[in-house]
Amino acid sequence: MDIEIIKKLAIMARVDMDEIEMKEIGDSFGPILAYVGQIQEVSLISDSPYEEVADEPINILREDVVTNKGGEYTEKILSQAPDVENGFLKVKQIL
Amino acid sequence: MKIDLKDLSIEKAHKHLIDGDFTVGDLVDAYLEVIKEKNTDLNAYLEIFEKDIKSQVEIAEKMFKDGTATLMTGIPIAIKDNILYEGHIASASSKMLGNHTAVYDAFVIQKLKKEGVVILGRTNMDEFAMGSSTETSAYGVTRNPYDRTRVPGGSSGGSAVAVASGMALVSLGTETCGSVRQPSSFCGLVGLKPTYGAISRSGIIAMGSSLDQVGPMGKTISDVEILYKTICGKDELDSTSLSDEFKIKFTQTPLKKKIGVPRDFLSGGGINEEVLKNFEESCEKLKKAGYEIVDVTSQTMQYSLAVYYIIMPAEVSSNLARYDGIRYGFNIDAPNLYDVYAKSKGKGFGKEVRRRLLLGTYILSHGYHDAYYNKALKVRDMIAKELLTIFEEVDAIISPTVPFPAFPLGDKMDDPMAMYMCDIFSAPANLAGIPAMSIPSGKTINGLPLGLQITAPYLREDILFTIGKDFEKLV
Repeated sequence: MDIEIIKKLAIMARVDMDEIEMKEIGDSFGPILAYVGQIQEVSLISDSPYEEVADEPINILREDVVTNKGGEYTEKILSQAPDVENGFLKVKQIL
Repeated sequence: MKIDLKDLSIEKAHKHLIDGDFTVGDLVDAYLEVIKEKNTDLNAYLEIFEKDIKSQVEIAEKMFKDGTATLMTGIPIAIKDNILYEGHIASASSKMLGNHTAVYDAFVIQKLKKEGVVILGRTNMDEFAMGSSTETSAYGVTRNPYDRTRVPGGSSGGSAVAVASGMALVSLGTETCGSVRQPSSFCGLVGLKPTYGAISRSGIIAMGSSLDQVGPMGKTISDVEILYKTICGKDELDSTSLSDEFKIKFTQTPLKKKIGVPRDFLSGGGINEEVLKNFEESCEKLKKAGYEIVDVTSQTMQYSLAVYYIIMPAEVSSNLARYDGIRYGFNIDAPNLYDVYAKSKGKGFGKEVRRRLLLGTYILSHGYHDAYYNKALKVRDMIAKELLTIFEEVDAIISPTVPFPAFPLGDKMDDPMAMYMCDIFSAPANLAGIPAMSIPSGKTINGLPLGLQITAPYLREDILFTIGKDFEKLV
């Protein structure tokens, strides 16, 4: 696969990588996409007794209510964050 | 008494503990001794939970004194490094989560704690469970105890080696596609991929959420069955977990004593000669055990691995978006937010994870989404429906677990497609959400273990255990 496409994918996926790796990944995509591409032929099986319709996924929802005390887990969860200030996660400027 | 770890099972250990032949502390010490001797070389465990083994032993011993001990009480277990155990590192064998300490217990850990199980440590795996050889771990390879120059399989390779080399009585792995069954096959163990939803995935580091499932590993079918029943159950925190009322709908109909072999599917798998010979011998053994072996035809199973390698990377690219260097995990400081994300992911993730992130991003991108992802969903549905009709005729389907025995370290690391082919016979069960189990079926001339895979209908783990035990008696 063309390295320019890999570059765009790396930006979309937010993954920094060098050109050598991009080329390597691009090269490996050829055989992988050729292999997975064989599913395109599935509809060509004329005597397939199966409908080509995926079942509707079922969403299981719960009531939109708070189930824990405010701040109950804050300290525990923030203990894993690299940059914290006054109980908030700190991030770099966006613009 | 001297504890014979080689022939120890959960039931035997329990009887000895009840009879007072040895204590939980003695049993745990026996395993710690083996770990001390073998782990440096095999690298099955990334960490032994030395700080709290003592308190776990005390809890278990108290349960024996109180008379509240169950079969699992005091049983030493190893857990895969992607299962959250509060206060302990869970890294998914990635640099991304190298210092990540779990802030809560996974559902399966809560279940184990309730029974007084002794969790010895966390085991090595392919990074974020992406691999079939435990070679993509950021913390070194794990070696196969049957031949140290070969891979143990993966991604739950550490959990397999821990049990196979006597460093734990049983272990927990996880599967997205074959990651419990394949290393079990390579290491001569029993490994179960339960029905999707049989076990809650709360507290399991996600890879492909429509496929992921926790799986028990052990030396015998009985050990795997006991562990499976211990960790089953409905959990409010995983909406896909199934209630007992739901499970009852799948009544335990009597066996037809008929097993199917999908010959056309197997012929496309590139099966090694020795593996094929062993498989035919397994078919003969099952005939001796009173089962009728029949050929079943399938028009869709051959597409399973292709479907899997579309759905899985798509789900991976979504699931792993959370590792952005902000809330937890590896972080690289940079002047702006985009660079924090991109550099943290670029340096925190290993090569195979980065490849799959990009593959998933490509598959889900505008213009390709329909041809790959949507089409794969439809074919997945066809595979599941076709399996349903096959199971109207037979109790179970059998195949080799993997087309070949354990391969040399490094053999497939430069050829991702060759590595992916390890999962060719595993994929149908994960896509259809049905249970499948690998059981030891013999060895190659060079002494490498081989496995037989049994696949059963939805929620019919009981069929796997029944056929497996009939087979086990004959090996």
